[in-house]
Amino acid sequence: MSARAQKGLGAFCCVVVVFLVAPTLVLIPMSFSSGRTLAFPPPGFSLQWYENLFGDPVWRLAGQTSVQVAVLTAILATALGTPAAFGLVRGRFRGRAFVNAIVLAPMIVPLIVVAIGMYAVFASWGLLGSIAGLVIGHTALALPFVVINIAASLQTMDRELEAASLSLGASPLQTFRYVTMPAILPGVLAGALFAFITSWDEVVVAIFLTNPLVNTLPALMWQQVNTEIDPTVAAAANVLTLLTTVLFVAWVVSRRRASIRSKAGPWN
Amino acid sequence: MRVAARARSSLQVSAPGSLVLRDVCKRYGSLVAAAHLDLTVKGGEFVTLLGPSGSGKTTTLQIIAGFVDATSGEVLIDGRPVTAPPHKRDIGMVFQTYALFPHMTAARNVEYPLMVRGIDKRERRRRVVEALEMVGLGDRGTQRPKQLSGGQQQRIALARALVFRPRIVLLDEPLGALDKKLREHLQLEIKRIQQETGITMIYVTHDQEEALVMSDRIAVFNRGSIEQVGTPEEVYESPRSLFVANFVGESNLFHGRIAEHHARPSLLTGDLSLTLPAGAGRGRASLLVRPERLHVLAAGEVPEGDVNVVQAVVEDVVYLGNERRYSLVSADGQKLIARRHVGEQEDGRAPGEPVVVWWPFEDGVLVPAEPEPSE
Repeated sequence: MSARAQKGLGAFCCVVVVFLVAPTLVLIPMSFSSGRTLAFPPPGFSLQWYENLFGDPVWRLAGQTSVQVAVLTAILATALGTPAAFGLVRGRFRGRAFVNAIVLAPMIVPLIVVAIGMYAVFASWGLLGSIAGLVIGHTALALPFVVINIAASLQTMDRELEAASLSLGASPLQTFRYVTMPAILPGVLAGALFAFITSWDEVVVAIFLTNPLVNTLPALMWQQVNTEIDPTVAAAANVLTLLTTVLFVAWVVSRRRASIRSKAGPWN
Repeated sequence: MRVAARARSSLQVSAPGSLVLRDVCKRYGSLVAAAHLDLTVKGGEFVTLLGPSGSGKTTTLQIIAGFVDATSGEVLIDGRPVTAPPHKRDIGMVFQTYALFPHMTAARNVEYPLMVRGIDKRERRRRVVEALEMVGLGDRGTQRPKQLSGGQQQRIALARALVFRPRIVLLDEPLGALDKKLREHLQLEIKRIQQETGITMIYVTHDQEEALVMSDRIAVFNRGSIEQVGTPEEVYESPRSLFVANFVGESNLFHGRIAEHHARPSLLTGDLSLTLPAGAGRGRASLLVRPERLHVLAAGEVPEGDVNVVQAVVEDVVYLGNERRYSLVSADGQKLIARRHVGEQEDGRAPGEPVVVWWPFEDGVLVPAEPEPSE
């Protein structure tokens, strides 16, 4: 490939990157606007919308609810997804392929369909506008990510390690705790992280399952944009993005550290 | 408890760690992985399961370890049938891939079997140090498997398999991933440790040289069956089947029919009549002569005594340092191999040279044409 063609491709990549991140970046200056409406470019600099975001009890409550729902979703999805991944990878039963397809279905089925289905059922169960309802709904959406991550770890894991552990006198439970779990832990943590993020920025199901008293951050943003165009929404969006980015970067860094640590250096 | 069981048993077992396979079979659908295996291993013995890949030796090891259930038959350890799951069998295992736990240091790996048994910390520490010393890696306890060489990793794996003083240690091609020099070194090392600890070892390999060097006895596997069990010398010098003759060491084989010739039992093969060692039967058979038993003289010289003589031509000579390996073709067109020590009188034949190949009658071994049916 000629140097010119390579440069051309590089430029093309830049265009794609801008296309992908520009909508996110554009909200940053907008959130620091001194004006009263959502506008780009902003007329001047101000922190008022962040003050409003953290000061307004409605926004604050939504933020708390979002964190709570995302954490609980990560825990529940991991707790359910780990044994499910084991069953799908290690199990030998009829209909395994079918179960596999069902577990992965939430990734493919249109979200709005899932949301309406949940709305109808949760209404009759009295779960609308409850943390429990949101956690259950988001767990269903997050499960495929957990199962995929853990299943991948299980498939690449050296099974001879487990045989070695058993031959050394460790019970199956001890083998799981001391050998299998450490081996698949990166997959489990990745799954939990994906589950957290899935819930954290989910809006479609949240719109159906929330009410003015139990609101998540994305759902509240949606409502705000529909009623009053106020730069607080931009500030909220940036907080949303920031947490996701921080979690993701922390994950990447910890993975890199772990792989360096296992390669060199004195260790006990 | 165990003593009482041994007293009840009809087996002559002295040291602990004896193993008996009684008519063990393993079938996967229509595939027979192990057929009617019978094997008795005395406590403290080093027995090698030798055979090509797919001959059933690893399956046998897995059955002993408890990872694979035999379709039929019995495994007895110290005279008692074993049916417990793998973690309750008290059998140490060493794998070709080492199977060290990557997230633990070498010392933690060795400590693992003691830890899961709930042995107290001080005793654990003492025995870990002892085991690491035994394999010559007393200073490597704090390192992780990835920081150790292949040979070091396998020593750690060996220490780990020995530290809890199992009744038997199974080794599945443990040196298969190492280079030749290191392999030879570790063969002697494993043998030394086995003799020092007096532990029963069952060793799986497809390397016949390794089997000859290390074993008290060798069980030669072929297509799921044991063809022969014997000391390295018995297996090499008196193979009971063509498979064993071919698989263990290099061999010159003459195939033919047994007949009386000049009042001696002879093998008629092509134009040749080769006199057999005493005790030959009748029918079809093969005569085995090991390469180091063949003598090579310049054409025209006449060997003396009770010897078989074959006219041949040197095809190729390979210098191996301490010996020369001659590839020969007999007048019948049969390929022969001879190994002669460098510097001895018969040494120094050149390619293309016509020669006289001879061996004493007693140096030939009669091998049945068909493998003997296993009892």
